[in-house]
Amino acid sequence: MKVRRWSLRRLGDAQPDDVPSWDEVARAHGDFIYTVAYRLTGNHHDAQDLVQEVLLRVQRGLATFRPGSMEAWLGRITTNAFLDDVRRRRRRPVVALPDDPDLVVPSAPSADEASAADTLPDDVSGALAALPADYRATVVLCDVVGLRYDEIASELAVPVGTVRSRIHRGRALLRSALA
Amino acid sequence: MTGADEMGEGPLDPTDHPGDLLSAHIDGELPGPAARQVEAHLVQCGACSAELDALADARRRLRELPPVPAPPGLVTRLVERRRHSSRRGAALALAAAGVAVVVGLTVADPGDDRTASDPPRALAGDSSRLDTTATTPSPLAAPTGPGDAVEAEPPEPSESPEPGGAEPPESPEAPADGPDEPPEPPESPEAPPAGSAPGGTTAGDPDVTVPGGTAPGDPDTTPSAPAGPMTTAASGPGGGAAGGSGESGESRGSGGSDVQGDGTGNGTGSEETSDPVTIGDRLGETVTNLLEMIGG
Repeated sequence: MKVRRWSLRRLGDAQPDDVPSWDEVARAHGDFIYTVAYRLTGNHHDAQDLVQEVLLRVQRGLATFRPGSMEAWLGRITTNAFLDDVRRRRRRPVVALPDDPDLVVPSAPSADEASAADTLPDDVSGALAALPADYRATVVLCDVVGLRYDEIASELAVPVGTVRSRIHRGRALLRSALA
Repeated sequence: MTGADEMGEGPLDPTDHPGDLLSAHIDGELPGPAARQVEAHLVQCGACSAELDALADARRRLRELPPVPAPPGLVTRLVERRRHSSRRGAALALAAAGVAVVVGLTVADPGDDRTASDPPRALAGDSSRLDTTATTPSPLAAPTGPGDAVEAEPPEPSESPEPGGAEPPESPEAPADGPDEPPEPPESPEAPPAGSAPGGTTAGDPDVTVPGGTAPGDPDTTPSAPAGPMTTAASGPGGGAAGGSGESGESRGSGGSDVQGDGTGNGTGSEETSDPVTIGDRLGETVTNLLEMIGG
């Protein structure tokens, strides 16, 4: 009884100052998060999973959000969650049974290539989804979320030169795919 | 490609193709001198000029990609699910804290002489007051106290004695009340939080109960030593639970963040126990195991 009352009250409380509550963020920016998630994953199924993970991270990190661009913040969280997932999928076959083809085969490609297979009528979307995950994440942060190179570099923990290179190659690959 | 490593260092040879500087140039990400050199090169290099146009086109098409609305109901569903998991997480947090208190006291007892000797003195000197405390509806007060502290004022250090002091009052009463009830939170996450913290505290080791009960019962006369283990026991699980649950499943994640505030608040004001390392280690293990059992 006590526990339940506490939980409900807690959820109903607004965050102090101008920091929005988790519910507000989820409802107000859900479509934006989904857009970024969809551009990163390239398919609706993975995008929904990613949104779920992002909202979980938002709940944990909301207290640390400082006034600024909420969408930039959400875009960074989404991209990092995506890359974490890609890395986890890449690691999994090694940790699992390497001899078992059933475990090995679906793992690595599923993050990158599988999303490409799930292409859309929109050719730009499909071409973007076909990019290597690291390029795709960088391009999405630049062209969908709208971050500057130095912001992307800081977020991905890579040099600015790497960001520049990935964006250039990502766009060049995209151009080739569309040509 | 050749220009990639030369940005910002030395002049760009006009005959070098800017390579990936082209995209940076389109994005306005090149410093003035480098941008001017790229411009100068573009004037005299038709290939690079054509590539620039193609890259600009790719960039434009990327930026013109339309928003993709979330499927209807997705956000609502996730919000609702979070409500439920938060509720469950809160129950788990309280259960973990309750059990950790028991473990903390049990562990602290053998090694801590003060805990065994000091409290009886206080108990003998002021037993009437303890009785009064014990007869108050403490079973209700105890679960509410920690809960409110977690919820309302996590960051306030001044509140730190409160959670530690709020639980012990019913300790004297518990030996007669529920000594036969060992805390068993994994069975039902909802119920134990209310029962395990107060009842379980004393059930584990009646001898230890006395010190715990004395501290809050008579804050003026009781030496601070008995309060030490108690406070630390209450704050320890907060940090342990939060850390242990942070990387795990979603319901545990929410529980962890709830408790985290508690741990911070308590930790600020709590005193060192005589054997903090051992207690902390065992508490951490216990809480982690508990959460795994419940989560699984």
